[in-house]
Amino acid sequence: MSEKAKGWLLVVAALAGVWLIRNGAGTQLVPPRPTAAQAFADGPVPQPGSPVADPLKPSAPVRIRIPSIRVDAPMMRLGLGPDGSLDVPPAGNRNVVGWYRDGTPPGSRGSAIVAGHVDDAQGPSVFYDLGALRKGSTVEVVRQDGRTAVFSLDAIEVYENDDFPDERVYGAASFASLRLITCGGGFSKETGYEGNVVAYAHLTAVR
Amino acid sequence: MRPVRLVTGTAASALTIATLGFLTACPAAYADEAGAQRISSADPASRATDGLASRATGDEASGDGASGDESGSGSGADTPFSLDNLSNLIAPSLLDSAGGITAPGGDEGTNRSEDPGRGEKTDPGEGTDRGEKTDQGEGTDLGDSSSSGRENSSSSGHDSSGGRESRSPSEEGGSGKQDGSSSGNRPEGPDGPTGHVKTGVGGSVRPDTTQIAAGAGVLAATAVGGAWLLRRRASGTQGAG
Repeated sequence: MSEKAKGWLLVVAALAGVWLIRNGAGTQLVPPRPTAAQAFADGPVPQPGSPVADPLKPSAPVRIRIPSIRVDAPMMRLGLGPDGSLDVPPAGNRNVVGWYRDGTPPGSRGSAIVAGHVDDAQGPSVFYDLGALRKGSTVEVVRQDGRTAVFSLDAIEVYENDDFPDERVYGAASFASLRLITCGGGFSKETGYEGNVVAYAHLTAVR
Repeated sequence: MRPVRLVTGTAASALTIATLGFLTACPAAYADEAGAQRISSADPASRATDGLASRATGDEASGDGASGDESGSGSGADTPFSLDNLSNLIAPSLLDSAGGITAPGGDEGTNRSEDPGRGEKTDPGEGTDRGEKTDQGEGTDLGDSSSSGRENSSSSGHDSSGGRESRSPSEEGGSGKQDGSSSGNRPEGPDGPTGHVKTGVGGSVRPDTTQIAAGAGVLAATAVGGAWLLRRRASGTQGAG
């Protein structure tokens, strides 16, 4: 190996070192946060002017796709934890999304609750970019009955853990509503993420 | 060649250490705070009535008009699957509303315009109970809540659950009721989720000292390697000259 090649190798190694330090500092890896402009103007209802499709019969979801943030993940059933909070998908699989199995399945009338990890100890997970969604973003849920429920985002909001609006997030809806939840907001070393990001969508079409 | 291996070896081990660092970067335990369980369904119920409620009811109403059976299946809430689910689901929220929140239910009732059917179906005792409220929507709503209450608590059990079951398949009142429950009432309070989800550990955000140390190690190694390379080049030049 020539001296030149060795020199290049050193340069690459040095860059790797710099990258490690920078990555370790975590300055580059903050999940996107929705702006206040993405919040509901008044109440969790479909955006005015957006079509509202008739709800489907209940059928379990099998897959979720959010093209704008490159999400394409299988779905699993979630129950409740001992403290009454929604369970989350198991650690170790960064590309799986859960839905609240005792609630409304996505596409049916009511509020379907869907949760995914923003990250794990190894890095970003399936809903890492959830906060980058905007009003009007499309969410697709493939269901067991073979149909695909297409949702349009109405709003995306951030809540502090200590002040989590249960009724707004988990409350009823008279249309086919979908709520996507992940961690977000501020981050503290001691307690982790200080809030949740919740994206609200409604059924606009069925394929 | 050997020094190169040394350098790459160092880098590789540093990277390994860094990876380990990632793996062990456990988050602090989350505070175990389940937000206060709010049981009132007043908000969701009334929310259900604004905005789209009228649209939904339009659907149901027209479906009913066309044919009782169709409306049931068309609205999608009364498949066997949902029935099962729903009987679980309705209970808590309706219980709640039975707990004294009548206003939102009244809204629902009127919105849904199923009042006539319902009015006769709710049992007389209930009807008169709420008679103070005067409008039939009220009556309907209570029919609703009492029926679910029945399933899940004996407090309002006096109005035969059998009656409800037998009539629910038979005509629109029944299907409408199920629709109502699926539309207006999701699991709330004790049965629905409460509080935030714990879907992140911050592994990608938290400053990782192990990784930083590894990076520093790699940098140090490259510095050593660079120095060695320069020195060797210098001595090589010397030797050649």
